[in-house]
Amino acid sequence: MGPAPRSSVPALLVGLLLIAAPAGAAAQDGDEVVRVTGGTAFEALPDVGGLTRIRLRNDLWARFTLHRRWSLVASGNLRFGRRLADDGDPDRVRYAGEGIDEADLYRLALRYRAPKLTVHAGRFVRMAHSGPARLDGVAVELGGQGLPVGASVWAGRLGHFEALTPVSALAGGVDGFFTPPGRLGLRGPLTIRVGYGFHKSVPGLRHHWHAEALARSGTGSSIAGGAEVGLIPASDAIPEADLGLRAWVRGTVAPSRVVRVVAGFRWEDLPPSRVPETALPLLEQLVPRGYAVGHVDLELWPGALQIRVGGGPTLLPSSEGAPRVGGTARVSVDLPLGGGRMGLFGAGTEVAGSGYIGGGLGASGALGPLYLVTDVGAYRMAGLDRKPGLVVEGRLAGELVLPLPPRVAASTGDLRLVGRVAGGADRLLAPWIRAGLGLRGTFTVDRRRP
Amino acid sequence: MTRALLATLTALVLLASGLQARGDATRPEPPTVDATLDHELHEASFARIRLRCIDCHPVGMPEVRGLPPAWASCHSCHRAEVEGAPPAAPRRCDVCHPHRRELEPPTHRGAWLESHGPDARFPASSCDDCHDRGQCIDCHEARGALVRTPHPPGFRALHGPEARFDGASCFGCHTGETCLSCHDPGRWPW
Repeated sequence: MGPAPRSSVPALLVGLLLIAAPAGAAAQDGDEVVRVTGGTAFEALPDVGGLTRIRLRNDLWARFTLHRRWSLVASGNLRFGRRLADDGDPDRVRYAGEGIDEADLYRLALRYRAPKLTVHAGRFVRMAHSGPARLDGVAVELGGQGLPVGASVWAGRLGHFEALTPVSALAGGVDGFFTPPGRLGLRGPLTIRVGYGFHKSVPGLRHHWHAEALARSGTGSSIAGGAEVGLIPASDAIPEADLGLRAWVRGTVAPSRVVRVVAGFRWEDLPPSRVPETALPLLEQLVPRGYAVGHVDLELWPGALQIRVGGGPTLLPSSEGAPRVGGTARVSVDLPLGGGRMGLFGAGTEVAGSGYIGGGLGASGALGPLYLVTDVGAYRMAGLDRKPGLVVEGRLAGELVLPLPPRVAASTGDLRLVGRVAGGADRLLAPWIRAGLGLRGTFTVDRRRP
Repeated sequence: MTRALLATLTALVLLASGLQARGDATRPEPPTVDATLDHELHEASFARIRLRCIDCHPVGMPEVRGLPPAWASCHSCHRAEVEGAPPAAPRRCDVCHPHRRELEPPTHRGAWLESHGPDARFPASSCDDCHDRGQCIDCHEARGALVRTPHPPGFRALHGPEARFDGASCFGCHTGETCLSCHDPGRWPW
């Protein structure tokens, strides 16, 4: 995160709140003028040996309707942390992607929305083909709202909402889709989507092409499939071109209202998601290329019961010997209990000698204004060293709806006290615990006709 | 082993199919749109904008039986951002659909939250009927105060084998540097 948003995010968001009320006066009657969701939470995380810390997390999401077709959306996080113990290394300040003191500005974007045209400009997160991508730029969407043909074009400076490494790349793309009309001129069951994207950074360029199709019935059954091709051409900094393919197919069959079967298959051999500016990121070094993974999931709702059984294999062919084979399976059964649900679950994964198997029980339910969810599990796990160990974990989370003045509650006000505690022991039997307590609220201001 | 697994799965499917009637019978019927429709009020509005009966009721079309209007007729005025819709037509779903469950499509049961990604990537999919596209980002970018995690129980300790099983699936949300932020030599074991 750059230095500018680190210090200016709170002031910016508060300023936007203050200007929103008069701006909202231009909105059409019956529209929502302002919606604000935010929270603040105090967390204690004494879980990593020698690096115990406390943290105050704040987040705010706000949408201001400036006019019938114009809106401004802003969202960001602000975190303050303190380490209660010091291991002597001041550089070790990140945990799972989050720093000790950090500000994230995810969105600050204007949106223009007409029936067949939507434009985003500013900083926003776009659901790009390979996942969410943070963009400082512009996106134009044509079609939408059930129209049979549409397209989108986007371009800008690329970022990521897990801002671990600065990215100085330009990115862009174009997408098009087509839904042939069905009976009576209504929307047909088939949608076809094709597109191209690029990622340009100092070391080189990455191209991406994709084509997909989805067909579905009105009763919950569907079949979808597609292919993506990625290419990093050879250049002065990249001695050899890298070309790869990802192909997938997934089918859902819902023969009745109480059963559904989902089956799928993927082949994963895409080049890295972006051209690395230094060394290839660690995760992408560890993740193999050219493997297949399949799954079958069965879901049943016999009466009040909910049953889920699923799993599948993974296969990594090798030219040097036997392929690497793995498998995973999950099963869960739950049923109503009082005002909530309670159930059992089991899970296991095995890949080339490392993996885990275990299970536990979970429950959720409401006691008046209090909603609780909890689960506890125990697993036998072997890591890369293939030495088995015991892993146990328990979690409890709760939300208490706080009373609000009738006038506020009537305008979609919601305020909750939220809490979470989790703890256990990892496979080296090192205990860990983390806990948090916070407030979370959502408030809107509507202008409805009398 | 394979034969036994197939037999078990077949038995479960048959059991579930046999229980369908029971499940349908015990499920209460949601309130219908007709129950909330004030036709007298609509007649007055239609007269103002010179809408004829046949404009909504597809009399004579062989594919449609009966007189109820197609849902597209209602939505031509009551959906958000319809160009040229009468200004008095409320454009909120709850005006006609007081029971949210009535609107929930059959896909949304069970593990839909975990598996909706491939379907949601299609822009013309029916997600748009109820969801603003911005709602994707509201969850997918959320790293706020005490947000819920999409991972199953135990994932914090067990994600190593999961990542080796299907590592490419991590890249939908995480960057390549995510591992190193915790798995730094000397801080946390692999």
